Amino acid sequence: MKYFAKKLAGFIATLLAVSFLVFLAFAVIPGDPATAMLGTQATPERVEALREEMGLSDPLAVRYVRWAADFVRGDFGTSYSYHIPVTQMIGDKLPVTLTLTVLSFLLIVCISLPLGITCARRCGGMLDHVIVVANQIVMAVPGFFSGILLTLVFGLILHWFTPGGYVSYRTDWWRFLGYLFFPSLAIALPKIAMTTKLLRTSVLAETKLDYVRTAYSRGNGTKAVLYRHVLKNALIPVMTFLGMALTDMVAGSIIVEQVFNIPGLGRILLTSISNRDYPVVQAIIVCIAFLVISINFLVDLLYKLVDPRITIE
Amino acid sequence: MLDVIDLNLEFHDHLVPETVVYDFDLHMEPGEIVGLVGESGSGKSMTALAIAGLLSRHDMQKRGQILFEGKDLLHCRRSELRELQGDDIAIIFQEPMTSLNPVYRVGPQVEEALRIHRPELSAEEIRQRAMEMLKEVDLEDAQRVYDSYPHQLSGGMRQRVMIAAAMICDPKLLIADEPTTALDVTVQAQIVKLLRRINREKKTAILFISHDLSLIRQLCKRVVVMQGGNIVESGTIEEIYEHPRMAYTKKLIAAIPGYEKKYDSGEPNLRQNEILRVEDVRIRFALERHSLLEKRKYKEVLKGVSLTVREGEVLGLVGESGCGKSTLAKVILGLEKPDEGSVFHQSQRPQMVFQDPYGSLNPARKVGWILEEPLRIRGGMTGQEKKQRVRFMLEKVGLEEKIAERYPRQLSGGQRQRVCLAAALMLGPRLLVADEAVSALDVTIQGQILELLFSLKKEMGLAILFISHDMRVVYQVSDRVLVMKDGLIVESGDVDDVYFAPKHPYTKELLAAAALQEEKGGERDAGTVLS
Amino acid sequence: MMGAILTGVMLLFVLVGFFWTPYDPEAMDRSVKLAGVSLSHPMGCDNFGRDILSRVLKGSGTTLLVAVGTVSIGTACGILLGAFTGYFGGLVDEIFMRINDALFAFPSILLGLVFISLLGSGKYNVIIALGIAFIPSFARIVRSEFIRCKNMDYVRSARLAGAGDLRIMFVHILPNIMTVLSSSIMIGFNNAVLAEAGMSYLGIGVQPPDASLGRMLSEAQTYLFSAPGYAIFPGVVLILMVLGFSLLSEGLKE
Repeated sequence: MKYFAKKLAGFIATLLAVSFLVFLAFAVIPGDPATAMLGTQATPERVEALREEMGLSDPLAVRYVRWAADFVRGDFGTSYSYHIPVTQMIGDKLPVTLTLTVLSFLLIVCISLPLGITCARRCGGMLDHVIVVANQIVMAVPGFFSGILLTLVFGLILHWFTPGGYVSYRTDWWRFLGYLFFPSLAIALPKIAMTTKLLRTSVLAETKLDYVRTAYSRGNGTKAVLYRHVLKNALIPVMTFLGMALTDMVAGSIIVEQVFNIPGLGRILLTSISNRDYPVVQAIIVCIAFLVISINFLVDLLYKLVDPRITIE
Repeated sequence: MLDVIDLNLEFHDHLVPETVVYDFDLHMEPGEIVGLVGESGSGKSMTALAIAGLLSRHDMQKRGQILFEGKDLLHCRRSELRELQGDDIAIIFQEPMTSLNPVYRVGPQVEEALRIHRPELSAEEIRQRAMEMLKEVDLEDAQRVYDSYPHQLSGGMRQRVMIAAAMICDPKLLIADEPTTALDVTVQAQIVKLLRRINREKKTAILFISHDLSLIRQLCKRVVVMQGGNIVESGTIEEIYEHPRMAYTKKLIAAIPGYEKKYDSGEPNLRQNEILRVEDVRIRFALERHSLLEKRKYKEVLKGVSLTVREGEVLGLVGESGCGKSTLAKVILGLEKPDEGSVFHQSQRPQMVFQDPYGSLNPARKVGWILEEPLRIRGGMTGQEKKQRVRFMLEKVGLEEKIAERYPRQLSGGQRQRVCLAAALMLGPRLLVADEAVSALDVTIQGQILELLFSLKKEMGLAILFISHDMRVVYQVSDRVLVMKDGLIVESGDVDDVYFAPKHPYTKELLAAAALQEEKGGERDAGTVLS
Repeated sequence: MMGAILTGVMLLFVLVGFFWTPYDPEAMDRSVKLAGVSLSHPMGCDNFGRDILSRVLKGSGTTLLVAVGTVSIGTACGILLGAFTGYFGGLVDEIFMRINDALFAFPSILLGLVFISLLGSGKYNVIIALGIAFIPSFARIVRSEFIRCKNMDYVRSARLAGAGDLRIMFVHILPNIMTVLSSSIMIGFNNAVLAEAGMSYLGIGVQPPDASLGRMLSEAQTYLFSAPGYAIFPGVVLILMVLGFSLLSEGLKE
């Protein structure tokens, strides 16, 4: 309970810190939001009026509190280029990116855990060697290039899916999921390789520890030692890695969305960056930050469940 | 019951096969306690693991026979071996912390062997048995221990848990691989008592493996001495300890620290000038807070310690782990600032020899560089002069000149400790603090380093603050002695007074624990006084 | 070993690209538009009829340049920050680590995107953006190594020999963390190459006329079916580069 309270406090502190940093970053950039909204032809009087209206002449701290309060209420500001609320712009894109991330996370867990355990059990065998080499290569393939290769092989040559044939989840949930399969595979592939490798190393390292010897000395068989004693210990570093991988995948999905032409958060982020549409960029960054920090918070809680040695630092 | 015949163990992981155990023979009767003694690298642990059936490495070749009640453990099927493991043959190890699975509670780990070998028992029966077993190994609050994780227990408690887990199926043979080495002396004594009681009450045969000859003598009837994978000598305790035949055994037995003054600290008339005075030093560390609102709590590590060291004397400081003796050393050396009290040095800064010769030499630098460092920092010497000084010091500590070109990891433990000594003496200090300086070394090496330390001391007129947990070594080296407990000095005085007429109950307890490992023969004064 | 050879070959490849390319990477030749693999154009030509091999040579040079710049900024700042916070600890360390943790939680490419959106795109801005984005991870590694080392006995004996804090930090401790550091520098190269390629692929990294592997890949995607080589060759070179660094990092760990 104390652990939970402490972690929750840390979670909130980090959220505040990050939101302030993001706010600060966008507050100090050259260029005046009022001018940006009205365009360069606007009269100085109108710009000044808008500045007053937006509260731009208030001190930084006041502006931050107002901005944060708006944010909590779900008001993310207004887009410079489209003049519509940011909430509206990113609201229906968020589920797309989230689904993509969750789907690739599931792929990672379902593929790499059995693979890693198999490798460790047959350490030194033929299968192990093949997987180790394949891992090393797959790890080096960036997500967008494996996306391009998947498009070429499964889309253009085998015709298993239509490149660019994205179906919105509002139209057909299942076809939406079907289209997302290859993109999430592209995101997941390097992470699958890394997780497999990490689990293999971790299991092998644990196997050398004293408590494994104790377990054998009580008459346990190899399988019992592996599943009842080693696995829980070996999963601890894997969990940490998966937490970090999850945050990485949010970024990875932004690129892979581009490869497969999926209208998710990444698409808006990119157009907003090139249009210098700061409220949108700011909102998306804060959303992703929120997601990332929440994931880390959950991983920390999960950690406590698996490893009793964890105490508050 | 157990017959090991011509056991040979060979590693094949290098180009040249490396034999770690040659032609090992051992016979054990039911209910017997046999000691297996040797220094590190003697192959004693490998033998223990082989008997317990725990050497399953593919790159290892095992020849010979290990007959347990007629069954050959080396050549039987793995499933047959597994039936015996944990049921008839159990083993406990040196490090109870790492030998227990860190992510599971203690209870299920104690029960495990029972669950494997007595599947007919219900969960409740198994639990009951585990609770009984925890009580039997003198764990008072069995329920709390049952629900704890290993890291929440003390070292002694963990070893008791290990013993409970090993004994739960009433094995016929218990293999104990250095079970007390990682523990404090008073706890060590308790564990040895417990093992002896188990042997008496349950008629469990015990194969006791240790580097500590006095411990073996205390516990065992017969002993096997190993060196470099060979059996040097074996026989009853009397035969081996009273009439050792082989040179190596004689050397080992001579190296057992007893209550005799081995090291003379030179002219007492030198010891007039104080070179260090510590006055009422207190140190506290902040404890972790459970919430931000809670007031910060402190743990006092030193609760007002005063002492003086006079020129040319050896002051012993004994105490168990956690008593604050290392913190005191840091304060004296100026590595830690006291919260209260003061430290006065008569001459320049004292130097120190650390316990772990592996950690106290910078692994990224060559020995020569390490030895030159104090000179470089002080300045005022040409490169040639520095090199010369390094050569001189190396010679002083009995090392060859070419050692200067090596990295610390290329040296043996004894060599490293010599380098540490040379580094400490580089600037010619008047006071040397030796914190457990020989504790990590094998007994024979221990003797050599002490020899060297004292010849240098006499030559250079050094004063030494000798910190150790080992009552006997402290007696051998010290002129005066301080006994420390929980941040306080509970007794101090001339070494003979403290050892032969102890006043404080804790001093008596320490001496009793040390005497438990002491030879039974009464040829020494201490033995009679303490018994 | 394998890593060293592969990295060596790739470095040679890049070096050749700096001084010599078979064709001018910018020269367009309509007659060989999207041409396949041939003797005169070993990797074929792109949609403007530019020689892909020449562009890959130039592009991998750009990528490596960005990676070197990025990792240098990240390592230098990371060592300084990590060393001081790890060695001295205290309140500054506490505050710094909070910020660092927050930044570390971000994927570096995303941090890069934020900085790019503030600084604008282009080769040097990418180096600065990614360099800053890489600082937290290096600082974290260096800091934890310093915390591990600062209580070692050899540091105590250095202090007893009279060494000051700076000397202990940079003469005594730093050489001991080199193994860990050099392995993470290689991982840093690995990540920098990937991040640069990713950003250029998205069109917000290196800008034309600079050739870049990521940008080539994004352009090649349109012609994926008619000229698969246009995408595959830059991709393979990219993979080989990353593979070299990751193998090297593992070799250094051992």
